[in-house]
Amino acid sequence: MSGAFIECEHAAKWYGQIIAVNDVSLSVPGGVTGLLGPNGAGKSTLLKMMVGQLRPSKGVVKVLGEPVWGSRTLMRRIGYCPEHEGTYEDLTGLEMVTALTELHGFGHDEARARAEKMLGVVDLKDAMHRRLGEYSKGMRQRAKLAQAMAHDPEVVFLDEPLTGCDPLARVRILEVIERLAAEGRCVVVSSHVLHEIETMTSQILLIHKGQLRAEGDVHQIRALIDAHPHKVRVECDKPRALAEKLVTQDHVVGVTVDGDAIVVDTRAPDRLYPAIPEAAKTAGVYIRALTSPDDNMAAVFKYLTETA
Amino acid sequence: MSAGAAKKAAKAAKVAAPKEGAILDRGYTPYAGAYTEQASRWKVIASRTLRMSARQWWAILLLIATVGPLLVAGIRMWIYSKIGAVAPPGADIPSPDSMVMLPGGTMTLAFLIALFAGAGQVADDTRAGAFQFYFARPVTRDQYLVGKVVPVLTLTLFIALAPALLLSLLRLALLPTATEALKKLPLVGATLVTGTIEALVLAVPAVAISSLSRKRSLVQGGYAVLYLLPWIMGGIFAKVTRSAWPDLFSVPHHIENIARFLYRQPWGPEDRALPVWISAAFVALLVAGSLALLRKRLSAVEVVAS
Amino acid sequence: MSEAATTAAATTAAATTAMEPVGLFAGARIYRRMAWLRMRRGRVVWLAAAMFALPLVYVAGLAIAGHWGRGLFDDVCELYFRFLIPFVPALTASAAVAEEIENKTFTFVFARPAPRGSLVLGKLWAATVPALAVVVPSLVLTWLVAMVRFPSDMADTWPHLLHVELAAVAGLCAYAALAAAIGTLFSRHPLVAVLVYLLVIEMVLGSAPIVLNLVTISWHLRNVAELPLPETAFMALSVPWWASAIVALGIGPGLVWLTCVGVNGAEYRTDR
Repeated sequence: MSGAFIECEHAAKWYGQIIAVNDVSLSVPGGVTGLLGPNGAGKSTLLKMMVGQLRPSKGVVKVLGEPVWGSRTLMRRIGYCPEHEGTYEDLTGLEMVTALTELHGFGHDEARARAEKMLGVVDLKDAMHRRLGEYSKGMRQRAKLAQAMAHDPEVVFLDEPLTGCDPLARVRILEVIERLAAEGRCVVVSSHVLHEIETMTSQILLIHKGQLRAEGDVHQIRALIDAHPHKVRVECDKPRALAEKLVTQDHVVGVTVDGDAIVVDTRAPDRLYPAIPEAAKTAGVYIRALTSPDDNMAAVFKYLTETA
Repeated sequence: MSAGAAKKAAKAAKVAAPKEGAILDRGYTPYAGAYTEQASRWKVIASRTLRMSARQWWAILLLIATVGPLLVAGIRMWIYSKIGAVAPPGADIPSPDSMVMLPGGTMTLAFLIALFAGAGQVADDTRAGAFQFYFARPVTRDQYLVGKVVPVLTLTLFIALAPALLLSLLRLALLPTATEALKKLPLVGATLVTGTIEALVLAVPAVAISSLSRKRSLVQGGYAVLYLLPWIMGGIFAKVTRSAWPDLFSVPHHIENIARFLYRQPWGPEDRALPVWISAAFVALLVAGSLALLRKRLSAVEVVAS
Repeated sequence: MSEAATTAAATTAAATTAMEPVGLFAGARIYRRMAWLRMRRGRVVWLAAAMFALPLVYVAGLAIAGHWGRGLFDDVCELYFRFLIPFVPALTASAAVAEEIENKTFTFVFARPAPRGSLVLGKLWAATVPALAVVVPSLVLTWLVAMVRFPSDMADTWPHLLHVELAAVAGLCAYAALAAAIGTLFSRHPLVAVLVYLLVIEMVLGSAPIVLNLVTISWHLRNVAELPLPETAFMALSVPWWASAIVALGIGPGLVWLTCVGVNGAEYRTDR
């Protein structure tokens, strides 16, 4: 198994002319791994292939050393919390989690005990006898988490687990994920929000247009991006005066005057942002607007697709 | 001037004076063009719904399937008109006019298209949270209602009316002289009325029932039960009781009753039928009641984000 | 292996020991319980029960109006075999898989080691057994009310009642399995697809005066129940009632098996 919990070997998935996942090879170790990518990148498709809900059109996806598609024995060792909100509205939280845990082969009493314990862990103890139809979004999300973990799986897949959650629910969920990782399990968390992933882990898989763009430590990826100068656009009343002040800073790679604004290229945006108001104050410049055209996901991926 | 008053005056002057760095006018101007008429907003909903429905495979299949009964009835009409022309008087030959009713023909297809197209309309919107979008715009509940009913009515009308209209025109064409054709012209009028009634009776309750639940399968099932159960029960128990009253709630019976009245095609000697005014009243009540129910359900809609 | 990983493995091993293998019927039991809980709390099951009460109401009314005997019983049986037995399973069983897809809950259930076919079997079980529990006594009561004025004829007609009961049981199972099978194939419009089959194939062919009516379930059920059959104009074929019973009883398990096999290998998407 080479120590990896999950392995993809040239896995691909297409629907007619649309390629959702394109020749992805990766291996996922224990701990928390973030699966990151914009909407439509193929994260959910890749995740579902790992969970055995979609058959790879090509290649193989293995979990715990076995191909996962059609493997009922593997399902016992996998937990999955899907992205969508669908739940059984007419069942109570306890009934749903108990029944789904029973489907792993536990007796009714054992399944119920596990369900109660897990619902307590996700802070739904008081609500577990209420129907799921009455739950808020965050409560449903936690109920879905509970059903993914009640059977003590070795590998847990969480698809956008923080969507729709209030800050308190987020904290609870993050605590649960931390605990799972500390116990040595493999947790794959899919999200399109970089900072959410950053709070959970430093290991990420970055997917874009169905292809794996980056794999590894998140700081290393950011450093790769930092190696490419960041652009910051400053609109002001005296652009040249401001440019004169900023160009002397050692982290500034270049300054371009663009009408009533300047665009500053820097390798260290964290140093530039406090330097700008200082320079403006010194030069007596009035700043109207400050934007960073490449401080967003599109810019990150643009760089990565250009360098791929 | 006292110090306090001077201070106040200075403050007022400061407030009145234009600030440095005033808001830059980026040239925003409100839209000054024409708006569509408020009353015609339903057309937007209707056209989109109709376009979406008409593209579905089931709609295309049902519309194509209408050709079958039309061809069969057309051929039979032609045959009966030719035989009728040469047969001796008093011969027992079915009237070619009766073929306009498309016996055994399109009512099932019209029911199915109303079921497919209509009995999920409002339920689907409720489930998808579409009211948040519709009613955050200057669209009234009534416009939404009309916009939802019209496409279903159009599709049902196509099946209920178009084949019958073609057959009535064929009937006129098969007549030997223009005078006879003119005398038969009321047949076309009867077709228009019958087809419209059939479409209304099938389409409007389908949309009304879809406002009762957010589950598509429940509303489709409810509509199917309301249409089929009284029809089957009525047929069975009318035979047992030798009375037409078991058919009181049977929609197909009332539609056929009205059609036979308008087409001047009497029931067979073994058949039992309710007085046609009862059928007319039932149909009117059903359509009006459905519209009232739909209106009431829509007016009670509160947009709740789920 | 790290200490944490050892702990995780030990926890999972303990969990795995506590688990029994989940076979088709074990899984079906669990799904049946889930489905029954949901049906009981919903409206469909009460509507279905009310529909099955209708024949009793009718037969009582007709008996009061002066209609009696086996003829009345046969006439009321028409309601069972032309509507209730084909259509009520369509309402309750057609959405076995479609409902999970529509609600997007299949992502939970198919990430379990239970065979996927157990979902279909469990839901069919939940839909069919209560229907049988209502229809069988309902037919007996209908027969009793129809025959109450002629107790001496009861001895002669109870074999006919048994035929009708057999046909009803076979019919409910067959139609429920058929509804589930069609509903799985047409998961976006399961109920309508089943209705199309019932209205076009069963009703039209089943009452057609040609031998093609033998392909319909309704013809075989009527044969078992000793109800009037449509006159066959071409290629008349006489089929003994027990042969029809075998066909009708065999359709249910056959279709269930096919549906389970189909669901086992299928992929379902949530992005529809």
